[in-house]
Amino acid sequence: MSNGIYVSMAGASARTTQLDSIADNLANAQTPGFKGSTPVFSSVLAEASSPYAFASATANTPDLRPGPVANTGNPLDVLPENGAFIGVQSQGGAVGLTRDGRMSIDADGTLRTAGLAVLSQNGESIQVPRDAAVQITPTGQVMADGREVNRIALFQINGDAQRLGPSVLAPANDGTSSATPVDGKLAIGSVETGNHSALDSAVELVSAQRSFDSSMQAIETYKHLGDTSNQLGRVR
Amino acid sequence: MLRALSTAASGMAAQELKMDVISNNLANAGTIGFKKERAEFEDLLSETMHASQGPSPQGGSQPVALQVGLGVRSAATSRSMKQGDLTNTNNQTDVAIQGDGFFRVQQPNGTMAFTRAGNFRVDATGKMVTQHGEILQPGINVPAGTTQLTIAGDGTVTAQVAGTSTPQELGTIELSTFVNPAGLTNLGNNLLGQTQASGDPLNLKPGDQNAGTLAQGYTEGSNVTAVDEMIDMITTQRAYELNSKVVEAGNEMLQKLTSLR
Repeated sequence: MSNGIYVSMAGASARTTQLDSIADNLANAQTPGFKGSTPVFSSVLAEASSPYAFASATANTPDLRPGPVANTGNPLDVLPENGAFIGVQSQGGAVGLTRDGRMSIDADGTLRTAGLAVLSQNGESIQVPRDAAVQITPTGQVMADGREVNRIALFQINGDAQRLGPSVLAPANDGTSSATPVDGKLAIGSVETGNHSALDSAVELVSAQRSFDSSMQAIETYKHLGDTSNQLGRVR
Repeated sequence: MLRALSTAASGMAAQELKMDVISNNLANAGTIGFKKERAEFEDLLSETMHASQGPSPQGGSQPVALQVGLGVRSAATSRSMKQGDLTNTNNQTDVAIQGDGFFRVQQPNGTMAFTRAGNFRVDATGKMVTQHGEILQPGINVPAGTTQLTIAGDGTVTAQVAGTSTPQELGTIELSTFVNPAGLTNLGNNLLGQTQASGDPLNLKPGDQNAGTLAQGYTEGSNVTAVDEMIDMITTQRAYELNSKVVEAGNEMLQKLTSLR
């Protein structure tokens, strides 16, 4: 049996991963802080002597470009400028990075965003008095009744990122990517929505579907070849 | 099976909810004191298909992970607290707030609620109440025979009673502010209730801090802008369509797959 049919199968399977990714990018077009991602395909088990190279979706990196910004006028919706990220305490204790800056204050007085505690510049969570009027300044100071309580930590991602949880990223675990603290500014009353454009998604959708169709066509062709060779030498 | 189908379905459900919120905003465009809402989304967990790892002794490396997200979910609806336009009604018991505060009213069950709808009336016992009969707090009792009711910008209420020469002071209307007014919950009938997210109310006199001042003879219209809602409606509809295209594409791909045999 020909190996080619498995090459086609690998191709079709990679395209279904691509479709999954497109669906996610589209479904999150209006999710604050969402960073779209597109799978990267590479050939695996390719050998110089072999005509076969199997396609596989091997990786995807969240696209860190900024998304459209919507003005909400809510004083606790903050958005770091220049593509910086807000530091949050993710599940498991690691530092997570997010651009979803819809802050809220929980029952214990902890400042939270995306359900996670926001980190101050010394790496701790930010506590505010429950009965105080809380305000966040464009320089990241958290003010309670006009008095500075703490400052929100901002980070810049150098290199690639990976997803840690909903809308939360971390630098990719590739040994070269890192996150460094920066002195950024915040836009108050704004949120950033999903950064993957509908146009890109629509084009990718067409392309994924057509590539899948082609792989299916190839499988069909291999099937015919198989049928034909089975009929060779048949005595009638 | 394809994750794309359920991911796209989650996107369609989210857009449906957004449409519900938009239609509620539009339906309340003429409601006094109404604050428009916005549906908030959150992405779902990502499935990690290959984790990233540094170079291994075998020489292979996977510098970047392959993670596929599983869609979107509706996290919350939040409220925009922008000021609505003031309309002159010349009604003595209509009061509008220019600022961030809320009127505090007592519901029949005794709990407090908060409202921006200042179209009050005087009930049979002389109390200032909302259109639904919730009592304004602290209570203002309007004496019988009042000819002129005056509500000052700082909340002081005075009445000119027939047969007396000096106006009588009835009390002061207070306002409440919240740390996070977007977190207030909707109780219906123009009323909002406090939640953990909103924080406890801070009771202030009009004019203090950010509470705002009162304007007698005015009502505050809703802060819904029809144009914004229309634009939102268009983007919502298109986003819904795009998500449905993904379902269609997924379906066609599965169809091709099942036709192989």
